Amino acid sequence: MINPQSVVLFSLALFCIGIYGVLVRRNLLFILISIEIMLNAVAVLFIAAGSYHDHVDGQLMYLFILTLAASEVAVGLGLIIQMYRRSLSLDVDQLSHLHD
Amino acid sequence: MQDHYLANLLMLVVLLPLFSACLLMLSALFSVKLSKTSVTLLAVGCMALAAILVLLVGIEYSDYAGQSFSYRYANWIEIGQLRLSFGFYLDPLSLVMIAIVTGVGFLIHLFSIGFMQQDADFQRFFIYLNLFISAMLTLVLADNLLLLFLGWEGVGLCSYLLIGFWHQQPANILAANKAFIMTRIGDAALAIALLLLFLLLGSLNIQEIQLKAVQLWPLDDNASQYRLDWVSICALLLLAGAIGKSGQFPLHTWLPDAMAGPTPVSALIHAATMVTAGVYLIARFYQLFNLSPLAMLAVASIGAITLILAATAALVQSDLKRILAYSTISQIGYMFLALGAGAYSAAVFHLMTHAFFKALLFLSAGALVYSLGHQQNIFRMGGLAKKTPFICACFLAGCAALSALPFMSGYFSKDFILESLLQQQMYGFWAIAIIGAFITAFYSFRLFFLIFCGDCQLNPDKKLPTSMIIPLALLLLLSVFGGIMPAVLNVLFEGGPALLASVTNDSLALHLLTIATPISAVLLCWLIFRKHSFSERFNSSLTPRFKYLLFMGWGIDRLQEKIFTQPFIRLCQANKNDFIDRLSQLLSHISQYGHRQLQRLQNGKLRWYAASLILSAIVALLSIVLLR
Repeated sequence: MINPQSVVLFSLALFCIGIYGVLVRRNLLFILISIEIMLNAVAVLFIAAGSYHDHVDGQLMYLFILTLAASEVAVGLGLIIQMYRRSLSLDVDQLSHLHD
Repeated sequence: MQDHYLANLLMLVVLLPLFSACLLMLSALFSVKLSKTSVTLLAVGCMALAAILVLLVGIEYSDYAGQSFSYRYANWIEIGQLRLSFGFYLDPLSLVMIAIVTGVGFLIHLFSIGFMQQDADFQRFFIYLNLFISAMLTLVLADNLLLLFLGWEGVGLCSYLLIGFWHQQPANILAANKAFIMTRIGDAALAIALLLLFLLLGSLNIQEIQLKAVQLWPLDDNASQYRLDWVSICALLLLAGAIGKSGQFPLHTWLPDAMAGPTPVSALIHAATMVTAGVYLIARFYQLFNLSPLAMLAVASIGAITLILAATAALVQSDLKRILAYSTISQIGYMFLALGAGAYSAAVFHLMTHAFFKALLFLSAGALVYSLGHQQNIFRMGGLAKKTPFICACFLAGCAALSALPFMSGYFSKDFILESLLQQQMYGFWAIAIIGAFITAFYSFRLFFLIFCGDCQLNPDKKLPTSMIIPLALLLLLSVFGGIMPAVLNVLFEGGPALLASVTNDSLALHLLTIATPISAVLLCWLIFRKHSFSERFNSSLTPRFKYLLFMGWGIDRLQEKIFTQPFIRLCQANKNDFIDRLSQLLSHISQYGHRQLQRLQNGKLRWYAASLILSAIVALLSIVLLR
């Protein structure tokens, strides 16, 4: 049995890495990947919590998050392709037309 | 039904000029072209009718034997204690005034036909003239102060319009503005007096005010005479109003500039209407003024100061109309002096004769200017006696009456003023009046000699039309014979020195003095003229600086500009950015600043948004954890 505290810390570390990626990366593709990492951090936490409480809900939640992440990636990648076709760039700092 | 007849006559007198003005105004408004003949018929015809009606009023009024007649036509304002009506009040004083206003006014109307014939704005001119007369009649006949004030303001407005009649030249507009603003200072004082009297006495009816004032503030012989009590304050405020309108020191500076208007307008302002309003106001409130020795002294002092100031300024002017303007100021000063001495009938008598001879002088000056092609400098004229004998005769009569040569109309009235000054034992004022009479005679004959004697320099190129000759001839007769005392003046005021005081032995010498003064002045003037010592320039005189000071009217204009106008302009410039507005603008400045600061947050950078989202989530979580 793994120590639940270390699982939580691992999950937290993963989440922070995701946040760091979202904030620091300029490429839209990498931002999307960072968001996936954040989702996985949450999923790990759910599974750990489910096994700790001997309950099936945690794994159920993981399946749910998996589908969510899959659809999110599908939509997100579609948008990114569209965006690249329009402006030939995936730099979020340049894609700030809504500002004006 | 007698009353209604008289009341209707009075109303018609006021309404006729107003009717003509309104009709002409409407025709101008709907651009109905009227020929000059029809304008003339309407405007001058209505004035003639009004003058005839005043004659009828006089005949009808003779039944009253000096009793006052008042009639209320309609209610005007009725709020609580305040009851105002459109009512007229007729007594010998207002009868004399409406007779002067309509009579002299009619003659001036008649004269204007010829004078303004070539002017493009013929109709506009007559609208203003009619309105002017109507406003003045309202002022004179009003039985309450507010109606009087209405006429008072109407006169001010019309004078502004008429002085600036030739509005194409900026100088004329400036003169009109000056007249309007200077009289406005007096008007403000009058408005304050009106409110104060209502506050203290609870009435605006002129006769009621005076009755209540006599009851409330009886003249106390024991107390110190010259104290500043309520009645003095009211009287002084009324006096300030009269000063503004009548062109007295220190508000007289608009009157010489008012010459910018057409000459008949100057005649109307100086003789029949406008400047006499102040004298009328004080005479109308004579009971109130009698209660305050302080105010009486102020009236007399202002009269004396103005008298000398204006007479000396008239000595050195070179513009024909300016000389006459200064002489008007100085003659009104005489009237104020008489009012201050309590000799109200003398003042009104002088007002009447002054209206005659000043109208004559102005109209003949107008005729002269008309026939000479708008030349007004008297040093360019000379030797015109043979070329224009009729105008010369008119001028001679006018100057003789103005300088009070014996048996002209001005002699009787001025003599009467001097005599009443002696009766009231005001010897200082009497001496000033005698000196003033000397100067008056001197400058009027300086004017006459320079224009009509000596070498001929100009040729009159126009013949006078009949419509100008008739009023001149009539005024000539009035100036010569107008001094024969009309009996109606005797019953003007109860109390005060009686008219036609008996000539006692000790005053015989003084009478001789008053006769000798103007004659000696005329002789002196003739001697100087023969030696060609009058000069337009300032270097030939012994004291050129003093002469220049006189020429500028003692520099009062410049003084007023230094004291009031320039600091005001400086204040305006200092407050150009509007200090008060800044306070209210502060609010908008703050919100605009906040807006700019908040705007910087919306920079369109996705990663900034994400960061702020995360940061606020952390803060929210921390606060939930820590605050629980």
